[in-house]
Amino acid sequence: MTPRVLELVGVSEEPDVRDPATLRHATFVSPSMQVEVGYCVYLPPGYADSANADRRYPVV
Amino acid sequence: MHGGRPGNESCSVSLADPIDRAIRADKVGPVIYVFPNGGLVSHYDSAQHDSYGERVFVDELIPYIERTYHTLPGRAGRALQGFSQGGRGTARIVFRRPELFCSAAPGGGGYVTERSISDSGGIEDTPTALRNYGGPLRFAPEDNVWDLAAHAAETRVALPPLLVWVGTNDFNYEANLDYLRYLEGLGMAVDRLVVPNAGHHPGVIYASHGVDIMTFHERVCDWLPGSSRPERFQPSSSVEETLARHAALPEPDEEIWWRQTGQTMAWRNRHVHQFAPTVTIYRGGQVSGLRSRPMPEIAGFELTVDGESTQFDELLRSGRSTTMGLVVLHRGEVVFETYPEMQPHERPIWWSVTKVLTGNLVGILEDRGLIDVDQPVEHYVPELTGSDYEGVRVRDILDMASGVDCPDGDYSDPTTCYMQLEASLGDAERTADSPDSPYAYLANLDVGRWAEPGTGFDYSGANTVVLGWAVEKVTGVSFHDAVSREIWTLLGAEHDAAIYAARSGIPLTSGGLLATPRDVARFGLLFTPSAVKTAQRPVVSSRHVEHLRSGGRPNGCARHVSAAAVFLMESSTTSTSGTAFSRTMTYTKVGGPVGVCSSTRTATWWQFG
Repeated sequence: MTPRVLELVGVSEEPDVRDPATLRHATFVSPSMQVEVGYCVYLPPGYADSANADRRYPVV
Repeated sequence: MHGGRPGNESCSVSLADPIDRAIRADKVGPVIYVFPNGGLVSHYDSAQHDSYGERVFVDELIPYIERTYHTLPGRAGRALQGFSQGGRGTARIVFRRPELFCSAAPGGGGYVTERSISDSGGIEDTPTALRNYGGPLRFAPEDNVWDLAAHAAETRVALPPLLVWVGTNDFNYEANLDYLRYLEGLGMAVDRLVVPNAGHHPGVIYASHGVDIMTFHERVCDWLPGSSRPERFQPSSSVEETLARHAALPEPDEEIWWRQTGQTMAWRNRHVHQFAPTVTIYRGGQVSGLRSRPMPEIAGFELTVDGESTQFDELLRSGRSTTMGLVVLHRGEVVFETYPEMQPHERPIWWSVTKVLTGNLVGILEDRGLIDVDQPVEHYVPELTGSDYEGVRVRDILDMASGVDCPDGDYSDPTTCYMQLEASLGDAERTADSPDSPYAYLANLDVGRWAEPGTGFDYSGANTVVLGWAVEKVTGVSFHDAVSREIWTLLGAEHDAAIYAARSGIPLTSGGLLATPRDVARFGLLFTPSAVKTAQRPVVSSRHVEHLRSGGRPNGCARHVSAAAVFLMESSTTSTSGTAFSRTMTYTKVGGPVGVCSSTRTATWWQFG
C-alpha cells in the first residue's frame, strides 16, 4: 500500500516538542482515504516503564 | 480536537505542558492525550472537498490508537474534547456518536456559525469559509451542533456528561452561554467552566484551569485511582461453568431454581437472564456520572464477628459474607464500592428491592391525582371486586396492612396462597393445579382475612402484585413500561434494567428487578436531597419521601412499606426459611432512621434506615 499524501491535510510539520519522551508526533494510514494522517500523542510519565507494561490508560 | 482549518495536529500541543505538569504534580491520574488532524474541513465530513475528518477520527484513528497504545478499552476509557472549531467538532461528534465516549468537553465553539448552518439548511458562508474554500461549505440538513443535540435529546441515546468551557474575553463567550442554556433546555445536565479574562485560546485556559477540565473527565469517567472498576472486562462465567450450571438447573415442574444455596444460588442470582424470560426496562437521556470520594474508614471499620475482630471490607470478602456487591453513597457520591462476588457490569436479581419501584410508581400516580390511596383498590382494578381485596384501601395495601391472609412465609409449602400466586407467575414449582394467571388468581382470591385492613402489618408479595396491577390499570401500559417511562429513562441510568417475567411476559413486580448496583444506587439517590446529582428533574416527589420518613401505620412502620424498604430485605438478614439468598446490597438512608416494623402477626421484624 502506497499512501497518497495530501497537501494541507495529511501530515503537518513536526511540532517543537519540549519533551519527546512524553509528546511525540506520528502518523497512521487511513484505510478509507489511503492517505497518511498525522497525529500527536502525549504519553504520561512512566508509560514506557516495564513495570507499567500491563497498565491501561484512559485517553482524551 | 484542534481549532482552525485546515487540519493541523500540532495546533494544540501547547496543552501538553500543563497536562504534564498536572500529572507529575499528582493532581490528576495518568492519562493519554491524542491530538488528531481534522482534515481539510477540520473534524467534519465533506463530500464537497473529499475530506472526511470525522469518519477518519471516529472509525479509524480511535481504533488505531487503541490497538497501538496501552489504552483502557471501550467507552469508559474515552473522553472527547476540543476547542473553537474543535469545540464544534466535539459537539457534533458527541451528539452523533454518544455511545463512544464517557465524557465530552467542547470549548470556545463558534456556535453562532453553527446556528446559521442550522437556519440555512446546511450552508456555511462566513467570510472565512468563503475565503478558505472558495465558496460556501455545504452540510446535510441538521448536521450541526444545534439540531444534532436536539435529535440526541429526543432519541434518548446514552449521552455522556458534558462540560462547556470558555473564557469571558472569548469572542464566542456569549454563544457558548447560549448553547449551554440550549442544552439545559433540552434536559441535559451540563457542567460549565467559565474562565475570567481568558480569550480565545485553549493553551491559556489549560495553563490556569487545565486541572479542572482533566478532573472533570476523570470524575465522570471514573478514572480515579482506587476505583474498583476492573481495568479489563472480566466475564461473569466461563464457557465450562455456564454449561455446567445450565445442566444443573431443575425442571420447572420439579423444583424452582432458587431453592439452592451457596455458589449455585450466587450464580443463578447473577444469570437469571440466561435461563428465564425477562422484560426490558429502558434507560434514557444522559448518563449521570457518579463522583467517587472514597472514605477508607468504611473499608477499615473494625467490628467483631463470631468473637473475631475483623474489618468491614475483609468481612465482605471472607467466606462468612454472601454479599455480591456493595455501593455506599454519601451526599450523592460513591464513598465505598466493592464487588466480592460479581463484576460491576452484571445485573443480578434484586428480589424485594423491586417492591420499591412498585410503591414509588403508586406515589408518582398519587402525586398526579391519578390514584387516591383512600379509595378501595377495586376502584382501580374492578376485577378485584368479589375477591378478598374488595374494599381494601390502596393505602392499606401500600402499608402491608391489607389484612388479606396471603403472607410471605413458608416458601416450602406449595399449597399456600403466596406460593400459588408465585406459581402463577412462574416463580414457584408448577403442578397441574397451579393457577394459570396471577390476574385471574387474585381476582378470585378467597383465603379470607387475618385482620381488619389497616390494623396489622404482615409482609406479603401479593400486596405488591396487586399494586403493580393497579399501576397497569391506571397508566394503561405494562408495569415494566411504566417503570421505563416514569423512572428509568429519567434516572441518568447507565444501563437498561429488566424484570424477571417467567410466564406469559408478566413481570414479577414484587421481586424481579435485574439491574447493576450503580444504577440501583442512582435509584436510591432519588429519595435523598442528592437526587439532582443523578436525575434531570424530580422523579420521586418530596411529598412521597416525607411519607416514607414520617412513618406509616400500624405501629410506626414506614409508610409504603411494600415499597419502602429498598433497603429492608437486602440490608437486614435475608435468611428466609433457611434459604440463604446471596444478596446484592444497596443501602440508602433517607435522612435518618425510617422506622422499625414488627409484624403484628408473626413476631418477625424489619428494620429500616
